Amino acid sequence: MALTNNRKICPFKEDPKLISKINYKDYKFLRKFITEQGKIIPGFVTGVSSKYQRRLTKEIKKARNIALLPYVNDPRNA
Amino acid sequence: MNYYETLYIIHPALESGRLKDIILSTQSMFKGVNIEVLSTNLWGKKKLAYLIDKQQYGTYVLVQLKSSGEDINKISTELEHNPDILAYLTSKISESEIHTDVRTLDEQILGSKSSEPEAPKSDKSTKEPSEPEAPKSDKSTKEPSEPEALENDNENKELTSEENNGTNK
Repeated sequence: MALTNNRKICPFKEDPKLISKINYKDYKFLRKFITEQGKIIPGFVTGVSSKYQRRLTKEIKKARNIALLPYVNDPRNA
Repeated sequence: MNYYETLYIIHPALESGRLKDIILSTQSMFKGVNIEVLSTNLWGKKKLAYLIDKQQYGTYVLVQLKSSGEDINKISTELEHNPDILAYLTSKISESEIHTDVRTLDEQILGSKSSEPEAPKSDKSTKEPSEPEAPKSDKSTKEPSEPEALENDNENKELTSEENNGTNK
């Protein structure tokens, strides 16, 4: 039984140049991986492999610590 | 010897003269505990993602250091008790990440000074509901001293498409 292949490809494996962008200083890039509320989007939604999801999570948390990214954000106030 | 970098936020009320004093005093503090300062990079005044000490803005400074693991712990208490520094973050880096071509501190302060007045203006324009296109153009002018500009936005549109759909509704 042939099932359709809906599996997403990890953006970092597709384009290895992006791996260097996983850094808390490049917080604008990290914004792609958090929701409007400020939550980290899980890997199964974005397609990021667990290896890079672990790195992303660490860097997002560093960026939050130094106020480059929000811990929580209320989109209604924006 | 290891390589480290410390990103710290200086109080926004400090003007260019005082700003230089603070940066130089922190540099001398680093040298006092046997830490070699390799480069100093002034990011300029930025809006904080959340309030720190009731401040909405802060001046970001990135310092790259060479030190032993024991000495680097000593700076945390110094930075913690400095009232002019709102927050700081120290992380370990590899030798390849060290900035080689860095402008002098005076040049960086002059550069950030010219860009400072733009930041408050752009915020006012974002609050006005009558200009829906204003925030898009402001994003590019808001942070001119950004070390790395985003280039591959188009490649990652798929990732953000889910969020964008939500906001358009």
